[in-house]
Amino acid sequence: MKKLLALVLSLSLAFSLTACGGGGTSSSGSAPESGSSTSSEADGEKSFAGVKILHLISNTRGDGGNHDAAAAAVEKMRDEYGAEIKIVEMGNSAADVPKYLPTTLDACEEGWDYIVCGTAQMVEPVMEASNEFPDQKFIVYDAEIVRESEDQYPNVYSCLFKQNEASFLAGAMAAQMSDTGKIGFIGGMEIPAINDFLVGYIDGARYINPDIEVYSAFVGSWNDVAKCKEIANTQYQQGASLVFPAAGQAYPGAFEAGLAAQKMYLGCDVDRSISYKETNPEICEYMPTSVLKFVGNSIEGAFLRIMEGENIFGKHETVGIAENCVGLAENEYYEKLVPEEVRTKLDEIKADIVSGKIVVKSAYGMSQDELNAFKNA
Amino acid sequence: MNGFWSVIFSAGFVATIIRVTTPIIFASMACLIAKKAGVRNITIEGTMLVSALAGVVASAYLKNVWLAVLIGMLAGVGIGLFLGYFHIIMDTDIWLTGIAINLIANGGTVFAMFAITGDKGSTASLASLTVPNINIPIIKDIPILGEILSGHSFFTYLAIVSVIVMYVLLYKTPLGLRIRAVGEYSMAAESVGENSNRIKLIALALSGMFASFGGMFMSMSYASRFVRDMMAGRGFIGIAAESMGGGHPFGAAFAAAIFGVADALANVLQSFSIPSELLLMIPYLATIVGLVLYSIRRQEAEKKRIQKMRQSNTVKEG
Repeated sequence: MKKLLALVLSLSLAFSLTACGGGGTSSSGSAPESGSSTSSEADGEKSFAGVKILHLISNTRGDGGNHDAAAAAVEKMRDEYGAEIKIVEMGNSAADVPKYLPTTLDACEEGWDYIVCGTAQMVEPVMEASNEFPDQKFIVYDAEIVRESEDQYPNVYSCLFKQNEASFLAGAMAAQMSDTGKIGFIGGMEIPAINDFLVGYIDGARYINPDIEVYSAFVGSWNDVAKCKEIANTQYQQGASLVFPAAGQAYPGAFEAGLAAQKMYLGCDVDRSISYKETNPEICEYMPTSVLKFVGNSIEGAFLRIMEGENIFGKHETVGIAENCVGLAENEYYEKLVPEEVRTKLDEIKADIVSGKIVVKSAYGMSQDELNAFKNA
Repeated sequence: MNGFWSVIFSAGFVATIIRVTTPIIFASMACLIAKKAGVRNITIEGTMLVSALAGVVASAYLKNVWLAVLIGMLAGVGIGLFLGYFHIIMDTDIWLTGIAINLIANGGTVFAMFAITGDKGSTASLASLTVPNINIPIIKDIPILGEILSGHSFFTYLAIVSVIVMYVLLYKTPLGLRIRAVGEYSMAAESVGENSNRIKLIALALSGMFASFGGMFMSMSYASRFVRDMMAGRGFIGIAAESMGGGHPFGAAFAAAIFGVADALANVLQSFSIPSELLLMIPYLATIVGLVLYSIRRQEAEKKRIQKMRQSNTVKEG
């Protein structure tokens, strides 16, 4: 009996270990050998031939947002610059998240030149892997690697988006177009990036109308379309003239509620009108714009700078409207649904943000108390 | 807080509760019938997911929403029988099998969705159909009542009907009697020539059918597409509702409605600067409180029963 128990225990241990490591990098056998050349050999003509890039997605592809955009940028490195790439989807269920760290550590042993990963959930795995593998280069998007001293994490480049700036424009637009003086916001979960959207949105709305009421609520999930729809229903019922869902895959719920109530809503991360234009054009008729984050641009930009020989590692950058990394989708529906004087005003605001005349408030660096006080002000 | 009360005391809020409750009622009915037959079906969440996807995909390709509902239903029945085959025929552990099926459903739906649409997030690229809402002729013109009772999804009315059907089935039909007999003590049922495996399989098939309605309500009525993991625990809340309902269809439906109220209230309260994480807890907190209350009630009933027995025993002895 004891022997059997021991066997079962050891087997389950062995299995769980392989499950951890295998979760992401199951094909470690086929991983490239280490010690390959880096970008510097490609002078003149920009090329990434022989460079090996690994993209660890802390989700699966098909999020229709940041990870998809990042993966597309990594694929572009392969298609246009000849890099050797691999994209690993680590999933985002409760069972997957604990595997992020072991998967990252495993990946460091496989000899990739660059590991691309993103979002706040990857910050801790990258910090730990960076200490353990000081030669491994990391490119982190949509998150900040906080350094206590300047020479900490010299192998990590991280880049944060000023989604608050794009969101500021959205808020300013919503406030100008609102006939009720009330607008809504639906977040997926209360994480820094989503709060940053919210803070910018409120800030922009108050810039136009200091007395505006902004309802904000969270779905508590990235997938619960039904709950998103109910929250949107509630906000429309309370008089919100426009709802901005920054809620991952749950956003269609807000669109459906808005369509039924014949009120407006915004897309988030990518221009949502593109995917609806063919299949469901009436959805677009109530979507004046989408709040965009060009995650792909920033990753591509980072690689181009590496190709030019610049050392971007050991740095953290925030990119916004000035760098053309966030903004509003100025598509045909924007022209059609947003009145011209509003568009002119938005262009002015945009110029003011770029010139620094308007400094948009950010949720990054705000304590929870400050955030609550700001929301309720 | 002015806005709060005007939202709470609106016909729309009651309609919201009815909408939110619908999938939970189906889930609790699915759990109830299996439990009456003596099988703890924890695969309801997974069954809902599979049926939700099956319905959406079928409607996109067949261009007939009722045919799609039928296919989604068959998918649900299939999973019920799948569980039955392993647990009843092959005698596997019900919890392990249930967990396995839930995990398969979770990953399998994403896999199937990717194979069909090339997208792992949602079925946005499929032009799927939705089940129509039903306006009840005369009632819809009554001012407040009309807004509350009319214009809901076909599935919402089906949920109400299925609670009644469940009651009739369990307590007024020979099949119901057999199911309950097998669930109470299958050996006794077998001693009078009943095939308990067959009865259990029938109950599980019905359980899968009810779960499939809940799933299709989510993807073909509440929302108009399938998104991975879109049940977000409603199947499990249905199981809790069934327990709170004390094993009776009406009790289960009432408990489901309590969850509906909690959920709808949480949505409304969020607009009034109460911390969202606290509010998102409400439905789950309600589950635990409900289960504790139910357990206390049951224990006291048990105590009384034992006391009564003791008394009658002493009387006899004396």
